[in-house]
Amino acid sequence: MPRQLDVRFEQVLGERANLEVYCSAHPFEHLRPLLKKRGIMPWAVIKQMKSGSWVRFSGLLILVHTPPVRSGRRIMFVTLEDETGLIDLVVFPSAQIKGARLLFLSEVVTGAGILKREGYEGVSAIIVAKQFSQELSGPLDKVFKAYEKKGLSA
Amino acid sequence: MEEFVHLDVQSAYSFLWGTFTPEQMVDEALKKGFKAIGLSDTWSLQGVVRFYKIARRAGIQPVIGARVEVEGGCWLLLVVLTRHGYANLCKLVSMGLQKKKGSKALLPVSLLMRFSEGLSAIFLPHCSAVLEEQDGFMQAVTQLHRLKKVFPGDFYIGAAPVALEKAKGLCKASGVPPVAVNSVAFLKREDYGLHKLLVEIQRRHHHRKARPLMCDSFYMASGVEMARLVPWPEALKNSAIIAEKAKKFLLPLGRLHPPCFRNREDADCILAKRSFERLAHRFEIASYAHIKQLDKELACIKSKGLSDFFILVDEVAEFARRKKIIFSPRGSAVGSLLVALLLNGPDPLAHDLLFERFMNEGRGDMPDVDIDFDSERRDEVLAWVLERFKGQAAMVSTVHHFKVRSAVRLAAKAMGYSEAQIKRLSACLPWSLRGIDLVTALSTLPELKNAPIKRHTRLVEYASRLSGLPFQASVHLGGVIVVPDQIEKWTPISTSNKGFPVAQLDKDDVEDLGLLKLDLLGLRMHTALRKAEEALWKQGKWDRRLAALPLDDRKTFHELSQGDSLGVFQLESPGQRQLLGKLRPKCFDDLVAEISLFRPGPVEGDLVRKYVERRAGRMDARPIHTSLANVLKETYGVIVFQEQVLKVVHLFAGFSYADADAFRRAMTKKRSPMEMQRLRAAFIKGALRNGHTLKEAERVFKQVSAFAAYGFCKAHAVAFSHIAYKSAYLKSHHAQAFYIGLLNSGGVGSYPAWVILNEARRKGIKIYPPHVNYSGVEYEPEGGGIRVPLQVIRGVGINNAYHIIHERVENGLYSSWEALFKRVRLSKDIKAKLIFAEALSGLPSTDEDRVYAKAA
Repeated sequence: MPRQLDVRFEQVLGERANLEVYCSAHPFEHLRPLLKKRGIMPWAVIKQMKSGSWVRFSGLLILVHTPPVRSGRRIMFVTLEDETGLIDLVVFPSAQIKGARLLFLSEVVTGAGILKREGYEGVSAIIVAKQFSQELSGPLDKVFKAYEKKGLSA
Repeated sequence: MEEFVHLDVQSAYSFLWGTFTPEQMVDEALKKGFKAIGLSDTWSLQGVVRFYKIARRAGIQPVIGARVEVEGGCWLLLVVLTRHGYANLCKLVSMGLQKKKGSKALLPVSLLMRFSEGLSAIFLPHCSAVLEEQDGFMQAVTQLHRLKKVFPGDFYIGAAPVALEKAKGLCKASGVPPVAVNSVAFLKREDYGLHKLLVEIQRRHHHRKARPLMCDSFYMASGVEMARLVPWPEALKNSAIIAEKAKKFLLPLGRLHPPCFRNREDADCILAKRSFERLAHRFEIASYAHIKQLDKELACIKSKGLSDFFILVDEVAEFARRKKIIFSPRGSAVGSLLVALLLNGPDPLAHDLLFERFMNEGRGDMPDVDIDFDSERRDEVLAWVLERFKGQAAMVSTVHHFKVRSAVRLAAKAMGYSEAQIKRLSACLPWSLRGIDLVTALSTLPELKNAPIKRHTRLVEYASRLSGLPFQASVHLGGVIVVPDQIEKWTPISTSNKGFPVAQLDKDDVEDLGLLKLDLLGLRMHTALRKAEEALWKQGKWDRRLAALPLDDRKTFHELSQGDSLGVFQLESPGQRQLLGKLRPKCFDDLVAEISLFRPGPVEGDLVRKYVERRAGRMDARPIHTSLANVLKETYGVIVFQEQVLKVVHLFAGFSYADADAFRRAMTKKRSPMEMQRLRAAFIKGALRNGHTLKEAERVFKQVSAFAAYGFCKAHAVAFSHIAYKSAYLKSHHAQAFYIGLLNSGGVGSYPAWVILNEARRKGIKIYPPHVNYSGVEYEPEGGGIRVPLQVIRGVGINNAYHIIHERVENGLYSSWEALFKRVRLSKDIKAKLIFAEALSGLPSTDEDRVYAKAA
């Protein structure tokens, strides 16, 4: 990882520790080169892909919502954010078995699933999450270190 | 006559003391064969209406009372015998709560003398501190002689099994008759542990000096057990005598008690005059339809004697207008033209809304008028209303119950777990569970599969018992009741932290008592929109169109169609963002549908999919019957709005709108097969009379009954759509001001400030970090960007930020670190926080400063 990138990410981590907001940049702006090496594209790219594509995603966790649904099953609606926008996930009970705990406790969530696009020109895009990465989810600094370690050799 | 009646019973409305709800208490009383049961919470009548209703429904006589402490360390149980006695008890409890000494409420005997009529009093020796003193017995006897005079013929000494001998001695010395009591705080002996846990929560969480009951004998003993525990026939019999006397008292449920400030005819005239004036003012030439509608509404209001109520609503609105406080109506009231005229709401005729959804001849309840005010200024309105109707008005209270997570955390704290352990044990626990208990959740929810709490069975057991129990009372968000006479005739009154009077009635109690409730709510989006406009004013960019917003702005609808709605009122949730992309709203009515569709009802009824498919032309959009084409045209044949249910039933089966509304309400409540059969028969009969065939009638009934429960109130959706549209318009035309408005309104909507700022950055708005020389106490525009305020630095807080900014405004910019630290007194910790957050960047620092910063 270039030294300059390291410094800028340190600044974001400093903001995370000292402020309630990010002023200089979204943390993922600096993480992106490492994410790309792992095949994780930004949301702006993912949402242009074909409906039904298998995609890898990563973002800061904003909210987890479990509204009552018609079937009575618990379906989790999760919103993440990367540097290009909000990522909406739907997590069905089968994926919750391994992912639910991680979703409730993580700052960064990384995983993979199937992209569903609906509406005119597929404006409504949502990822049906199937898998979550334990290693690349968790507190931002821990995830950064994991990327740093793996990213160089990826 | 009954042999024994429990008069001294403290439910969970004696917060963190009693272990059971009124429902559980009545169930247990039924099991034990009691025909009457009392409720006597400590300094509280909070659970009374609920208890009264449940007991009457179960066929048990409810006896209402409350425990109060009188000066000199004597606890009394006051039992209501008459309506006047109820008013007196409300007054006494109010006075006790107002006259708090520290955290202790006390009543002087002189007050008791003034308000003793209609009450029976029982001295409770086993609870009274007076008997614990050295010459306590003599002091108690003296006090008993005084109290005997206060309640002539209606004063007793409580004979509890734990203090039987004491009671006997006091009776003998004072000549006061005994009554058997058991001061029930738990229903079964084995619940004593739960009682102790609740008291421990009082001690550890609220830091109160509370003591639990001394043993497990304070349970709901049966009549036979009580006869064994208190072998004193006179005492047992007296409890039944008091209950018998209390039979005279009935709570006035099921009738309306509207406020009345003037002669009824005068009120009708004033309201009619004002409303027609407003009609003339709003529409240059009022249409015949408007005049006819207003006339119809006034006639309905007059027949119900509610003109004074609407004059009151007008006065509230007038005050807000005078003070330039933004407000708007919400809920079914938006369907009324009169409300639209009084509260500047949308024209119901233009939106095809129904007055009958709000009020009709058939409805026996009070109409609900809810008004949203700018949340930062709502308290001004509340203060004015409560002052204007002093002695007649109070805020409604609300009771918070233990939720799963809080139950676990508080139980663990009371059981002596450390903070770190509590954090670990409650990780992943949701705040509340929908319809399942904690034990089921622990075995079914995947995130709790290996939860460490599973190994702490006693904690799980206690937390399960606590979940759902009342925890504490607080003030309702905006509910204000106005009664026809004195408020203290209806409920005890306490004072909120803001100094407002608060009733011991929640919103359901108010409805049951037929009292008027106004919901004067604070809406943060109103604040956000005001602040956004202020930001535009400051920069000289105010858009004249904001005053009379065009409802057809293409840019606004285009951005909404892209799902770009973060921060937009009601349209920002993930589900709404997804739906926007599918529906692609093109006009205002599309927003009304959008807001109505993404609700639990329509989602549960699968209306969303049907609507989207039909709108996109992928599904047949034929209405359920050709005669209903006009009614269902706007929603592609799907019944989305409650108003459509009324129209369908009215047109197809010939019901009056009042009956149609009763039909709708019956459909939305739990429907019994018998009720369903009755409604079906009435519907089909009406449809046949209207010339439809039996087959058609059955088909339409099947469809209407399937959808009636899921529809959303269109009037409410129209009101919210106006606010949603304005926020969307601001976002698409003045994004910087819009974000500033959102950020300065204290958490509007679902997203935290960092997400809003990230989006602003994505839209090309520069974000400037907090700085001692440039930041204010709020987010502010700076060129085309946004300057972040000082208090977003963790730990700095609003007071320190204010001092730094105030000094800068008074005496100029800070020239160096040294200058700042000299001019403003800040702790070492705050200085370090400012340095780390780079809020001093660019300012010269001395070597000493830098060494200090390094050390910090």
